[in-house]
Amino acid sequence: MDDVKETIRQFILSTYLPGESADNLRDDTPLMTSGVLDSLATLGLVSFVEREFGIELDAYETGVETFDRIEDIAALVARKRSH
Amino acid sequence: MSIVVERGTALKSAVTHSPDRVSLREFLALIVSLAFVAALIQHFGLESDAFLRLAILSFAGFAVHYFLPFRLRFPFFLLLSVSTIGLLLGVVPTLWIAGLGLALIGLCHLPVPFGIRVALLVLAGSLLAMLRVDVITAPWPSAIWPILGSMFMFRLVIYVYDLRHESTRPSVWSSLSYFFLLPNVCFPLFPVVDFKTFRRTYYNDERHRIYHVGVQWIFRGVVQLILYRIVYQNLVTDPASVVNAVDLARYLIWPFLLYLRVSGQFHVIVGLLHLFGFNLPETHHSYYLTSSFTDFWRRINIYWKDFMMKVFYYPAYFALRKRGETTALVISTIAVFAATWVFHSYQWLWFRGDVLLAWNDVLFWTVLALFVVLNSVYEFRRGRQRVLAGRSLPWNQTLTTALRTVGMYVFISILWSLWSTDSLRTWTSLWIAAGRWPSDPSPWQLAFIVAVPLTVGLAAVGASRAWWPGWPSSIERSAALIVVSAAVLAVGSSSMVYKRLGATGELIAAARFGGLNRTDMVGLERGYYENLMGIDKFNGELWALYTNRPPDWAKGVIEAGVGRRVDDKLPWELLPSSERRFKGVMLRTNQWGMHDKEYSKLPPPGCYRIALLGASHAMGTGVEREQTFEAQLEQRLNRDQEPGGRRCYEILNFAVYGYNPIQQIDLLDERVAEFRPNAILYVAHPEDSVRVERFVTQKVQTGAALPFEYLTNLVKEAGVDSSMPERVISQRLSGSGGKILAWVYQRLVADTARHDMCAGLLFLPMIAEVKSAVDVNRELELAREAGFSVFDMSGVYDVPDRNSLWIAAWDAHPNAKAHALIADRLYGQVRERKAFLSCGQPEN
Repeated sequence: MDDVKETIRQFILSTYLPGESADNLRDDTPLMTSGVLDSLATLGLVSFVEREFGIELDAYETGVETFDRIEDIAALVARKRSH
Repeated sequence: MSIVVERGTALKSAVTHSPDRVSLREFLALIVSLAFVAALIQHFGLESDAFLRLAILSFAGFAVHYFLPFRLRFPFFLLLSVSTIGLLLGVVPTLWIAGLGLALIGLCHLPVPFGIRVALLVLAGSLLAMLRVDVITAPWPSAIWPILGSMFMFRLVIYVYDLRHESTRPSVWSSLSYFFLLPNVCFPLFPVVDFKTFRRTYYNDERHRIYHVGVQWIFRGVVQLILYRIVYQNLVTDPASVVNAVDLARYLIWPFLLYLRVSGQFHVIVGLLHLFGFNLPETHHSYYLTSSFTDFWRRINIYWKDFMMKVFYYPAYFALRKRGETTALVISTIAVFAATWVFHSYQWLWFRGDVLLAWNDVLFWTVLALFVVLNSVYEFRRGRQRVLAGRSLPWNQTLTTALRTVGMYVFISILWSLWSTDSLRTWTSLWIAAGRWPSDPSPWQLAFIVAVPLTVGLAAVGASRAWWPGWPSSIERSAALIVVSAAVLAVGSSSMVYKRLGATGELIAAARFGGLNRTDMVGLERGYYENLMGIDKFNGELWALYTNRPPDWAKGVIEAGVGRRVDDKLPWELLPSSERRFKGVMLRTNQWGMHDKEYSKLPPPGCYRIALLGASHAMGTGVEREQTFEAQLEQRLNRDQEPGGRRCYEILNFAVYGYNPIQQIDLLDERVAEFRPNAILYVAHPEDSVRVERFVTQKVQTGAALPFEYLTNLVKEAGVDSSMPERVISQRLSGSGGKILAWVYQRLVADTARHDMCAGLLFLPMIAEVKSAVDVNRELELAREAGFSVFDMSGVYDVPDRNSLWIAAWDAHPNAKAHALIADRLYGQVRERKAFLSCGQPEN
């Protein structure tokens, strides 16, 4: 689970927040509601998550309740993998 | 106690607080804030009377809701929402809304396959649409359409979508509350609240934090509504007034600024919902500070964007992405804009009852879609600068962002002006003015045109550098800020203060003018949102319910049965010896069709007779005939005779509701002269020059014959005829009002002299203060130059609460108290002007 979070964190930092310190992007930092993840960034992250963790996401699974925090995304990945 | 709002919908962080914690200190701070907000709404007369009543009911409801146990709060909210609809709209419309609404919600839950439920909803929607456009006559009052449409037109789509995808079934309370949302009753234009978000955010944070945000947003919304008023009353111009580059720049600025009303209303709406625990997100985020097209789409009407993303964009993208991400992105974005355009027309249908199909509307959405698609593809491939909340950008990026923001502001303003102009042809014709520089540009206008984008640029710098202070985090400090700000706004806009501030004061005072601005008075540009929010224009029945106005109030003289058509010269006359209700009172006419007591045709021997000419104010609209200023003046002149004075005075009221200054010439010749008065007293109002110009312009535009040779020649000289576009006619006749009014005055004075009468002019201001678009003093000069003896009533309505002088909250004609003020002032002036009471050929 921690590996998943770290992988997602590194992707977000390198792709959307270059120059930002990893310490400032905590597991519970809001991403969608703070504007870091807009629709385009969400799509980019969806592609990354699907590719990286070998899962397939549905359009309905890209809402704020599953993609607003790194911990939420990691939980979604874990749920999908367990199915 | 901790809560999970609805199983499966609450975020993890939501379960750590107590929804029943009571803090009297914080509660009182919230109540004080809300009381001051309500006072501001009342002071500025914002929106409709229904808004003030909604605010008071909501704030009182909040005070009760606060102390209720958690389990009772959802049912209480629903009960309050339905009761408020009942109180504001009446029982019958509310029962219809509730019945139709329950039927539609019931269709969503029928125990049949999902596809059949959707088909049934489409069928029901089609049937309702046919009723809306009157293909079939609806059995319910038409007032309910905007409210019913607003509650169900988009929320049903989201509700069905979520029913399909959500694993947890919503509770009855959440489903019903979602559709019958409290603020909906007086805000038909409503943010598209997402059902999932509505459930997820219910008490998902500490309750006082949710309420605190609500109060902030309500206050923010109210301030935006006040700013909207200032823009609406001061900046709006019509296309006909655009003759040079400065006019064009001004014309391009205002339409986008009018959007403040939408964002203001949305902040108020979502703020009100916060008071009942719905911790909904922001609806707009600094949308004047957009730095790209995608940024604009993300900041303005965020709920709409989220609705489109959820129902169209993501499903389309996920379905198409196997064909390539860029292709999927482009097609999904185009689908979103096509849906946005269709849904805007769909919204128009439910609100207005007709179909919106205009080229400028199509062009607006097409241009916006094109740029958003290009911007999206660029960002998708190249990325964009993002920062965590509260971080500032370095200076080089700050300046680039500020420049981009100014550029975007200018572009969106231009695009918005296209959307707001009545036709594409009119909008394109405006650009001819871009090449003409005014010979004598006003430094104020130039400064203003530069100041708007400059302010946007500076605000963008402030936002990028994270300079703007946040809202106070404590509820008590927040309350103090609201109390102080409200007091400053109220005092600053009081007549005692703004009248001492010159032009700046007039600008501020405009915030309190609730009526139409000058441009809209002549029926010109309003724009998409203005047209949807102007309920007084598009649904008179709903407006009547909002204002408690009797249904027959809007009727004119003929429709109300108090007048009849006579000939081509005068539009109508009052029925003789009639007694019918008109504008809230019994309009009693004498045998000659005057709103006055009985008089003989010829003056009794020894009587000095004055004929009063004018329109609705002079006629005494909304007051008994004994209460009109002319009746009171007549009584005082007869009662308080000076030694050696005449035996009697008679003032005959020839004024008729709806007559304009030009028609007074015919009135004088056709009717007044045969009553042999010694003098006439014509009641003029500020901006009569605008009224006469509008009268002539409309005659030309409709191809109607003009009543006098002078006017026919004037039109010939201007080189206009009915075959020309309306804008060209307006433009060429623009500024002729003063000339026409001067001629009217000269003609009236000459005609009275021909009949051996004296000519007096009573200059009567309006009670509703509206910033004059013309030099009113010049109009008075014209009257004096023509030879009128002028009785200037300027300032006669300067009392602490001018609104108390209206005949009704929705009608600014002078009431009995106002007529008494006029009579007092006029009596003093008439007594001083002895010549006016001894002219003509008195029969002693």
